[in-house]
Amino acid sequence: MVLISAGTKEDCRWELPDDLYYHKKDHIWARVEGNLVRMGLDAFGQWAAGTLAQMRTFPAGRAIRKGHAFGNLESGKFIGPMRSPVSGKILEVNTEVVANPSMVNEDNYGNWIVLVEPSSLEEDLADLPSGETAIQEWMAAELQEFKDKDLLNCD
Amino acid sequence: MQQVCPKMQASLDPVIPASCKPAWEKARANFDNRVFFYAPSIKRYETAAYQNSSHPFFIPVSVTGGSCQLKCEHCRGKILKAMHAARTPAQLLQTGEQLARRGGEGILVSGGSRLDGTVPLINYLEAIRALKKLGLKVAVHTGLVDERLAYGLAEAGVDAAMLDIIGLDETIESVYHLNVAATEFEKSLKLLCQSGVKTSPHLVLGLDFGSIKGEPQALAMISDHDIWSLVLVVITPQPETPMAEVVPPRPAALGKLFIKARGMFPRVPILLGCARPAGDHKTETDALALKSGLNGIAYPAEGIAELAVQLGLKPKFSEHCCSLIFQDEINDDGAFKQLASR
Repeated sequence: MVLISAGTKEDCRWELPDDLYYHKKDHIWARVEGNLVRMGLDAFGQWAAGTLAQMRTFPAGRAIRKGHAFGNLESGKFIGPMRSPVSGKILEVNTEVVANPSMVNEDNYGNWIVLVEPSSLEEDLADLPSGETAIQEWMAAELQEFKDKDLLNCD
Repeated sequence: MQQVCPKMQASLDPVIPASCKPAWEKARANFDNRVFFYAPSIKRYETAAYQNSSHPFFIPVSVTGGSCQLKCEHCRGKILKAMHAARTPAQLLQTGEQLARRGGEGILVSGGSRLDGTVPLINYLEAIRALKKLGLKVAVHTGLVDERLAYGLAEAGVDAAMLDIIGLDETIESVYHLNVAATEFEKSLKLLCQSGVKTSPHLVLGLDFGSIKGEPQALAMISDHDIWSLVLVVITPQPETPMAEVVPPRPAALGKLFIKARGMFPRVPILLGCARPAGDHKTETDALALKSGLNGIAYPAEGIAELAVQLGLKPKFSEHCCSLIFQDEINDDGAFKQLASR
């Protein structure tokens, strides 16, 4: 587990499991489970978005592409797409989470969003941060960008 | 009795239903074919049609931080917590200086209310004047005002004053916990308009625990004054507030009010503001707003800009606060209003 923190506020602490892979900009995590990939929103992503109000995803059976939307989100601080870390086909949508997206705010790693059958997993994972060092480097840059944009209200 | 657009027709189908036509035609007769979409940087916004910069550009600041003495049923100060805090005039000025250095263009000065419905703004007038000298646009959520504050805001050069108008005394008491009559809000509106501040009253549709009650009265009150824009927002249940489980008015009910407002304010820009329920409700509401001839929408739902084009409108996107429509998109001397008065 990688613990990232910023400022003095207690809620500015984020846990990012080092065995997951991450979409760098949209903070979508990908967990490899045998031949499948489960996806959800990482801790920083749910913090940055605020309370999730609405979520839509493509239905099961739909092909998705790495870097392209598999759904979208609306929250207190964000309206926009959720882009996939991997290409493949959606096998299952967590309909309970889609119907009650604030469940992601409560447990963002337990409350996954979609289960995907990947089509080019090894290639897709190659440039995604995973493991302690890569996650720390990625998040350091991400925090700096948020700070530069005055979006990191942590003191 | 006005009819509302049937639900099916109010979707993304690019057809103006018969019941919406008078409002649509009124808008087309009094305004050109532009429709204004807003995505201020308080939210990261990305749809197929537009992506905002997500840099601080037009930021909300609360002069009371997260505190509000009224603790209204629908908010409990939660909306303030998302704002930058500037609890002293010096902090407000410092925030503005930082914003200007980073290329930002404007500030919404807001704050929690005191128990009498006023916002402690009087000591901020000098700082606001200084913000204007920095070249920033300044919009202010005023709360109830007295003559001193209304004229002080005008002298400080604020670009827009915003004030919620509530039509019924009982709603003011039950939601705002405020023991004043609806006429007190109208008095404040009158003072602001008389002072020369460009005033943009706001109306929260469904404020009374999700029911449409005093909205027609509020529109009638507003119609007696020389306003520069009218912003309609929709009650949006906030978690951990007494209204968390409230059901907002259905889009069809909102559509009736859009049509009514367009009819009452044929030459005033009417906007659908930031606050409204998300998801299908939003898509349907936004589509109705377009088809009822409203002039602009903040954070439009996915597909709405495309619908506007299909309806023959010309979308214009901006990262400013939507209430500044009258100066923001045209020029700074009220040309929108002149356009509307032709």
